[in-house]
Amino acid sequence: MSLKRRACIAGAFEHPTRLARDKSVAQLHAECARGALDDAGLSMADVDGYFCAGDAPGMGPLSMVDYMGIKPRHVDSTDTGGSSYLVHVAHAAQAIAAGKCDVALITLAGRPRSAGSSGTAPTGWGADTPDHAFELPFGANTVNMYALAAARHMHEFGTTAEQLAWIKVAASEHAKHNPNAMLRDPVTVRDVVESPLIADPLHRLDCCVVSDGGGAIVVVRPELARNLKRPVVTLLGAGEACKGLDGGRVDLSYSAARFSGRAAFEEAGVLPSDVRYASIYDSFTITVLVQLEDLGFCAKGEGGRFVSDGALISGVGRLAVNTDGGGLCNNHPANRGGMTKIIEAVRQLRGEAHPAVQVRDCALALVQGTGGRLGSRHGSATLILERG
Amino acid sequence: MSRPPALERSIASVDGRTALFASHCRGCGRVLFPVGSVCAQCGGADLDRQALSPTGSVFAWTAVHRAAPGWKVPYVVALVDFPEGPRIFAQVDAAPEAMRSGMPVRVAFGRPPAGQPDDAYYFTVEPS
Repeated sequence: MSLKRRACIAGAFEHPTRLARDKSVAQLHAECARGALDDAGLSMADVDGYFCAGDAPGMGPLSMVDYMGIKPRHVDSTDTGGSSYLVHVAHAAQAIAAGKCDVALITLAGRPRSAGSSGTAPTGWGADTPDHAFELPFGANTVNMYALAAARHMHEFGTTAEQLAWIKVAASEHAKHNPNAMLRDPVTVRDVVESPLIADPLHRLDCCVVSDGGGAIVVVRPELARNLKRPVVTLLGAGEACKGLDGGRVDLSYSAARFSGRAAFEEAGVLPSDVRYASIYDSFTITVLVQLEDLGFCAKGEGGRFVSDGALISGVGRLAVNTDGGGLCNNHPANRGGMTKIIEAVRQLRGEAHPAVQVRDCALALVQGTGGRLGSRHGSATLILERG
Repeated sequence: MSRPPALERSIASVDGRTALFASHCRGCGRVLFPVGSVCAQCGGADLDRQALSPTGSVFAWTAVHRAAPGWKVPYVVALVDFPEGPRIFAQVDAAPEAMRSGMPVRVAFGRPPAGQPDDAYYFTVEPS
């Protein structure tokens, strides 16, 4: 069953907070839900499908639907890390196409900034986690599992720290127009490469922000979307994939976007050259570069040249990427960047991005998410969305 | 953090030295680290155990400059290719300046350079 034009995004909301010391995670979920439903012109009583990832508080979807007063006939708590929310959009479209729900609500929230999480501590997920024994106790933290991929990309393809820095520069040029962005000051290539090393070759400014907050999306049946007040955004194609260590011989040169991207483009019947705006998961600069290659925006190994010289700056370069400032400058709520990637693509397709970064005649957008660790195992999801 | 229980089957003595052990899949021939019960390539369960060579070569490495309290920074971590096939992650007892891709390293056991965990395997630089 193709998902092409089987569901629409009718509501989207990014929580304006970046530091929520006095709010619970459940409260943030509920505020995001309210914001997205208000945006769509719907109410909690209209929701009959609910989606959250495995990090939702309490017993996940059971606690959240109880907390928010939702009576769902379909729930899904698929967790593929930061890419979960793209997977949820695709799964919501499947459920709608199968008649299992009509109005699907997807929420994300978290408070890693208040909790003091930085991603530099080797954190495990318990003694039963398969990788706990073989990476984490021996010094692997989140940053270094991306740094290894960056180091290998440099070794294999001659990519430079300055090329990676251009990805951050583009994000900062967009974030200066976003009043809610955590980092609003434009930076230069030199600023990035002279910032402290976190895990070689990734510097502090190659890393995303740590922020509290969240977001929500409402996915509905196309017939319903046409009767709501907001400009319609329609799902054209979706793909999801996982990549792991491949039996202990991890290949660091590519991500699972190679597979999720191909599936999404095939379903949508479009090409990378048709895409007017792209939200690309930016946990680190290297994440963007590798995904752009794997999605086919440029050849493998050419990513460094592709992103250089302002190429990702809206109105300046060849492809506008992350015009809200992305995770690198704007927001990375709950250490999961997929939700905000979808929301900025919706803004672009509605023509509601900041005028300084709005892509002219933005009719087709791509959303790319990864979750987990680029250097070991991760999930990837790709959405292709059209205006109207 | 002490050595994880799941590693006990992957560290043992052979020919008077302590060695890393891997699983060899009789079905597809894949050599998998650590010793497991399912082949990650073909899903087969007919596995036997074999010792890995004491040396391998660096596939990719990074120096970690920000870590949790109690970890001595900078410390180097690497993915190391063993001749039998597995690509294994661990710390390296070397200065960042001494590191390069392809360099030979040797497996060692005990407390690694970052000082954590207290019992692990790690790599030392092997004269090339």
